[in-house]
Amino acid sequence: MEEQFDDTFLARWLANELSEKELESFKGSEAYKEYSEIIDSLDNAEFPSYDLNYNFEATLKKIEKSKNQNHGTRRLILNWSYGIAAALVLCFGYFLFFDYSNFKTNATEQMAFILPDSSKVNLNAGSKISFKSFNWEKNRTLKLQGEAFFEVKKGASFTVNTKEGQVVVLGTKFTVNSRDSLYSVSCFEGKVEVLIENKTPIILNKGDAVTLQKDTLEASNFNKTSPVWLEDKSSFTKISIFEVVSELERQFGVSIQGKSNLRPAYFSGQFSHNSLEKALKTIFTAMDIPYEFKDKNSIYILPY
Amino acid sequence: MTPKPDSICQNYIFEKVFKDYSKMIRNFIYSKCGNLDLAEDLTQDAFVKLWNNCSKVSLETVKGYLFTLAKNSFLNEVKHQKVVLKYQNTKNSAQNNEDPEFVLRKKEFQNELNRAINNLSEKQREVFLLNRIDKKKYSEIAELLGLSVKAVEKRMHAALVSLRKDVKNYKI
Repeated sequence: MEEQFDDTFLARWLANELSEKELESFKGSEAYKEYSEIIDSLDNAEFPSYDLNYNFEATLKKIEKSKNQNHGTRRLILNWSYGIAAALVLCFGYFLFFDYSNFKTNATEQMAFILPDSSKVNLNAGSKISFKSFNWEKNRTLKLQGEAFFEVKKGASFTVNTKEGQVVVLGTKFTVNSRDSLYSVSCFEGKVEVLIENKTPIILNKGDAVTLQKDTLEASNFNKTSPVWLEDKSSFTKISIFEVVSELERQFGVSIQGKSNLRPAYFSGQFSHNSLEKALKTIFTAMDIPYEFKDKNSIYILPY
Repeated sequence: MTPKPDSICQNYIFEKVFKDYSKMIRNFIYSKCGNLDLAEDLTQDAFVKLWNNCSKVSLETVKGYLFTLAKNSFLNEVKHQKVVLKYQNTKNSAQNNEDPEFVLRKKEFQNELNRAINNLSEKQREVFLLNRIDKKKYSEIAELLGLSVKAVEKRMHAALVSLRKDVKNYKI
């Protein structure tokens, strides 16, 4: 029978690439029955089951082992009983690999990155985020110092931890700003739950924001689709001048001395990140705060 | 020293690559040698090599890179063991109230088929299993193995001819 077929006939049959005529004549043959039985039997066949976690852990152990072979430092442990030493080395390596992922920006920097579930994060200057990437989809928790804008993909509950408390969302866009004496959360889309110690939970909807300064909580509304600092500006609504000065330092990478000369005040307005001179004028001159340049990167606030 | 955000040197990106491809690589090596422990061992080795070269491989090319590593690491002198395929038998027979003799005959046929698959040449077997079990198209298989589509089709055809002959001999 096979002599009638060319050497790719059966392959084409399986891929449904035979012509009507070819198929008809094949179906009439006895060979067809037997080939069909073979193929049908394999319909539900599978490879042996695969334990992903087990194999991943085994791979990590091998990675740690290969690292140790390249560095001589681990030899110290050979004084111990080999069994314990090997276990310890593997233990530490294991732990280190599952270490936290850290993202950090210095002054004048902003950074964008993607979390393991494809949620997006934008970090403002002088900020830091850390999270455990292992098992991220089931446990979306991260720690934030500073300010970040989040675009969270729908999924398990997503938590941002700061020193003031937690912000919990399911799938949404929001900013969390946690600085020395300023804490503010703004919701750009969806719903956000803000949990602050000793305060009742606050739910923010699109356009809502809440700011905590000196233990006073203030709610406000805004009308933007993303934070203003992504457009190279910093914007403030009744924010303590101390925090504004810190943001100036962060965005321009300069040092502002003489902060003790500042008189407590609240600032509303914004400055652009393009020009330090302009920004200083916008903030200090507008508020009648005298200052001078000590050198290119250092400014001194004079007593007033 | 911090790797770029989307580099495979980032722990969580590496983990995702492992999640996406390790099973595929393991099944590929298994279809060649039929030794499960060896297949998993070589798969892990491929990922260790990937980690050690993580800065040189991009996400676009990592799949091809892993398959190349898998092909190269496979030692031909390893003793060939039997590929054992798992069949989802229990579900069907329970629901259909099939005649127990029929069920037994089906099982026997599957065992026989397993034996025949193991008698195939390695070249035929890997193409055949990638297509029938992994459900890969001929074009995908061609790309992974560095062959032309025609060459893949020839191996498929030859595998089937071989299987039918082998199984037929058994059915006296």
